Amino acid sequence: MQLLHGARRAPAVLADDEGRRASAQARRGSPLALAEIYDANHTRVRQLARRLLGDDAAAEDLVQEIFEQLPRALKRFRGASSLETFLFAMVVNRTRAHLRGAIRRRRALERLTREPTAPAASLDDDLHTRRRAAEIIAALDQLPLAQRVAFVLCEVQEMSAGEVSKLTGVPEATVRTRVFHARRRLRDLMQPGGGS
Amino acid sequence: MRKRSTDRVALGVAALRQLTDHDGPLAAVTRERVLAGGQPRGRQRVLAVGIGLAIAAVASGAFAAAMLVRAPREPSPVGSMVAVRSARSPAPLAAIASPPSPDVSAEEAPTAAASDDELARYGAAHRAHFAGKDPAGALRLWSAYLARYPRGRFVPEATYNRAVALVRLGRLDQAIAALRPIAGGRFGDYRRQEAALLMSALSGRRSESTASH
Repeated sequence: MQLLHGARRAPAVLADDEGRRASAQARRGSPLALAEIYDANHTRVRQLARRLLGDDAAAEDLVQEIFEQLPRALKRFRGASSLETFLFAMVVNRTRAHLRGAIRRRRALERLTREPTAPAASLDDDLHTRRRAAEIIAALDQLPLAQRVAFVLCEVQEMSAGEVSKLTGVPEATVRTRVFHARRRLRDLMQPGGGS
Repeated sequence: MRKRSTDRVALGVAALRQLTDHDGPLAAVTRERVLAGGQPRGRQRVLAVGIGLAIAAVASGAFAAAMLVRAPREPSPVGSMVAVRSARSPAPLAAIASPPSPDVSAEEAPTAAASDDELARYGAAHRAHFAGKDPAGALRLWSAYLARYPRGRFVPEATYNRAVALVRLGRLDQAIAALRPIAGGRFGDYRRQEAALLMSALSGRRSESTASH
């Protein structure tokens, strides 16, 4: 089933020079520049946050936090990477703080509703898709954070090991090793009777 | 067995990608909050859990009945959810409705001025809707905003809030008509579920009202 209902606003990714201009203005407190950056990047930032956290509400909290703190954080932005990479790094760096609450809430919700999937899915979402997503999220919850981040970035977000290395500051070989171990652990966890 | 479990990982990855490819229903709320300068984030969770429970209730067929039981004094459960959300909020968008910051360069001035007018109109409608508790005034201001900026940045929010104002005024047919494009996905997932639920409840009330006459 096609779930691509379309983003509310088409993500118009800012070109690097536009990104630098908007960043400079947002850093000085321009709300219009912040709105421009938000509109151009929120869809991809949210997508990554949802994939890392497996929880829509926690992902929205994270997205809000990132864009609220962006004007101050941009003081560290030198333009060496794209603005999107800078935002992705903010997501990854803040994942740990949000993940514990997300896991706790997911387990509580699972007990409450026996429906461990994201609470805000569309009414017509395919049940199998939701179950499969819930299954891998539950398995990801059992991985160390570093493996989880590497796996989601490489396998779900489809970034290369080199890109992930730049984003996380971890050597490329280490990224590959983490993905390898994550995949192996997920296979074990997701076997019938594997504990996921 | 190994092959099969590998497939489960791949299927899980594909499912996770698919489910997170769209923005989700809370995205527009977050945008408002970010641009308003930040508001408590915990309410996102309340909203998410509320939506989740609403979906569960709809599945069991209880939600429409619950809405109708509450209906006489509070015509819009979704509207009341919005009202609860905003009653505790500082006037959203007040920060960006203020004059442009001095760092805006001269060449962007025309764009900035146009945006300021749009934001000011949106802000005025928002205040009338949430803080002023004046549905007739809010309806007029939302309609004016949509007429002036039919392709504006806040059209989804304005369209939904205008529909809620119509509900509050008891203009159910017009409210249903206003909700239809939202429920039909014109704005992606924004308020899609709430619009569909509200339409369903309003249709029920309208039928009940017709039957009683």
